[in-house]
Amino acid sequence: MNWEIKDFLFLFVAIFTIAHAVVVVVNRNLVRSAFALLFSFLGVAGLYAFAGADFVAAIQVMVYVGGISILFLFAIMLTSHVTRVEEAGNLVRIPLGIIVCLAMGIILVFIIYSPWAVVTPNLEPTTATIGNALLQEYLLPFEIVSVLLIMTMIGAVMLARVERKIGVICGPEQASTETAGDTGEGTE
Amino acid sequence: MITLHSYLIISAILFLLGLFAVLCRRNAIAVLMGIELIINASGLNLIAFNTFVKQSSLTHALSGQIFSIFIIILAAAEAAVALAIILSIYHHFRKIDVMDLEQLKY
Repeated sequence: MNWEIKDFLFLFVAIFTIAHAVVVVVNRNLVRSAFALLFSFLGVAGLYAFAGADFVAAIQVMVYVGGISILFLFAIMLTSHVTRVEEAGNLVRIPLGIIVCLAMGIILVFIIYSPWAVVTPNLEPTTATIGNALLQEYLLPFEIVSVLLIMTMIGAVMLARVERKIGVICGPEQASTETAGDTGEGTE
Repeated sequence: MITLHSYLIISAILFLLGLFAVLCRRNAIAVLMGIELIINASGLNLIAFNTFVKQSSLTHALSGQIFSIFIIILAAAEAAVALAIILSIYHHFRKIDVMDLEQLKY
């Protein structure tokens, strides 16, 4: 097997992605987990690019790295103090989780090494084809997704909203609650 | 090196890490991070199958990539709603530990 530069790059990106995913799962500090999740998303975008999906890689960078990771960071900083974000885990659950993951991994190994009709890929720019497909064959899912997004936006604002009780004198505790709720509304 | 099997192995590892996070983490936001890892693994699988596996003539040539785009959109929507629910739970109960949350209504 002769290795080219792109193979080394692919290996680097793969190890980068998986190492950051391991940090996401193992680390007790949620803020570090969120940053590792950001870099893991970035690595997945690189893997998309290696598979010839340039448009999906760009979408991944914009939506995941630029949007969802920041949303996670906001949620972490709104729900807990940065210094004590995660308490000690329950030790009984960890071996059970490892057993379940190993069993699932054995099933996945059988699936991965089943015979696939592999072809050599022809890599070419995909953006124009995806755009045409989204407005022709996939027009109905495209429109439904836009409706879903507006439903999501309204639903998220409704869920994160704090009802204001008019005429109730706010104590100090209630006042702080109201402020937290306001900031939560702003992030959605 | 850049083959279907390497992609499937990477996405299987991502999926197992996400599954472990969903099963074993106690903080609701960490559980949600595990779900995001699982969604990323599924998108990676779709892209890999679209690129490296022989396609039938019935489907669009890039249907795997389009499915992956829809998965990314749905994951964004899911993350927004789930984080809003977590903020609402935190507002009511002052904690987001999934082992301690037993009631839906306060």
